[in-house]
Amino acid sequence: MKRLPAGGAALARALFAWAWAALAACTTVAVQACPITDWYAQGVADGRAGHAPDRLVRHREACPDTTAVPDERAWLEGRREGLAEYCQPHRAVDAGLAGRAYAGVCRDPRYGRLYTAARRVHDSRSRVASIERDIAAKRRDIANGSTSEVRRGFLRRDVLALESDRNRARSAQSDAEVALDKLRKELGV
Amino acid sequence: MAAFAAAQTPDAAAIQAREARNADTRTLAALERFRQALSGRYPGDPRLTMLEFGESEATALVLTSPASPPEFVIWRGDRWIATENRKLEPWARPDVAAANAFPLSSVRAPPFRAWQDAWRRVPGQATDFFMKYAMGYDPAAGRVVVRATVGSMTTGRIAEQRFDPSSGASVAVAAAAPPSAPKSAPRRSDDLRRDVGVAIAALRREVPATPLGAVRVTAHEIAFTLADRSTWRFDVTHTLTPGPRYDGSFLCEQGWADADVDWGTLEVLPRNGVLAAGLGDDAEQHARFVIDRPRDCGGLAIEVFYDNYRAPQPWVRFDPRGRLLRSSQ
Repeated sequence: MKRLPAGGAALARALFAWAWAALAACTTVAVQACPITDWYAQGVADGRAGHAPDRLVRHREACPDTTAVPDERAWLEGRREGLAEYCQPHRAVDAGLAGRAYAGVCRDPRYGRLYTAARRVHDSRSRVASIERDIAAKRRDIANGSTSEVRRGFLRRDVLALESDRNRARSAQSDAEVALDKLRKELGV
Repeated sequence: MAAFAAAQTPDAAAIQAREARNADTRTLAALERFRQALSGRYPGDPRLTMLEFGESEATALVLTSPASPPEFVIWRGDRWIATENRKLEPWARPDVAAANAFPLSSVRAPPFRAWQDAWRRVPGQATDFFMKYAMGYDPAAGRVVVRATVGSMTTGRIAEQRFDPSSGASVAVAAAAPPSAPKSAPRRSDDLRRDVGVAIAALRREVPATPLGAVRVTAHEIAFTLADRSTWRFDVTHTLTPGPRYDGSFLCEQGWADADVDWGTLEVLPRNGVLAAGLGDDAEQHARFVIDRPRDCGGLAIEVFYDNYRAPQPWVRFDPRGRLLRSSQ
């Protein structure tokens, strides 16, 4: 039998890990892993990911065997440790700008304020990008030789309206970026 | 006299011990009625994967066929009641529990009485209150055992004791909690959150069988609202006094049984709630409990509130076994 080269073995391991992770994504923990799960470590990981405490309910559903139920105290203690890392204020900015969800899990009120401000920047940027995609699509339609003159007329009107929307969205984006910068300075982040 | 006070004199202790024995007799009589009801409903000698009973209610998981899951039944007073929003789980995996199901005929009162007698002979334990008995296959013991939930009238602690259902002999399990320390003289705690077992024992001496409606526990008071809308208050002097009838609408009139709640778990919930809701460690000492069913008689839950926070006050909800459900965070 032909052996996998070293790189191939690593790839196989990665694929296996990916498959395992995909399975776990549906059930939080694969049922076979329940008896051997380090619930403290799982809590740390969940805390680092900013999961709300009801994540534990999903773990429990994933591990229905009464002899392998999650150790709730260990998980909660671990999650608290993970949250200490997750709830660093500068991470709120990263999370908000990346458009990641926030479950309101941080006690530090700065986190929520920074996240909200950064999320506003993300959302306004997304809005500008979305409008620009719409404008580009309509311009392609206009340039297309098979588009009728009547339709071109409608499309040009749409583009004008979208450009106006884009200007407003850019203005909102600029306001959001200024507000975020100001808040970062205020909070020293 | 409606009021109940904890034992302070030898006479009072003797009265309490006698009342405890009477409660034992009533509980075993309730078991016998449940056995007869089960025999009537399931002819022959039905096999059970789990049995749980107290003075006012009994529940069981009955195997009706090898292929189907066990049937969950609840007997209260003198009739079967609905099982919605109620749960009884075996200690072992369902397949293991089914393989180790025990016949109803193996549930006999004499071994229970023998265990009770042995327990009460130990100094300081004569007045203890047996809150519920559960019988099933115990993976830790590797056999069918009875677990008795015992509320100590002298320490206020709630503990679980295992014994053999065929002989009443105690069953030792390596992981089981060590036996409680020798009992000292009766004391009165300044924190009633540790004395729920004593309070329930006191309540059951006055009102043996009426289901509970709501229980509110703070460090300074335990307030009971029963399903019949009567109310009782247990205070820091360990005195139980009747209160005015509850006329509000926030009550499930079906109530629930004492045995539905794992009272021993209350001890760990303030800390778990602090961790779940992301509160400061000092919040633990400000925890209070509300144990009830919603007025539409949905599932029973234990809610922990933290009084050191102003509105909106954080809360964490647990199921009756102390498992986290959700929090206000």
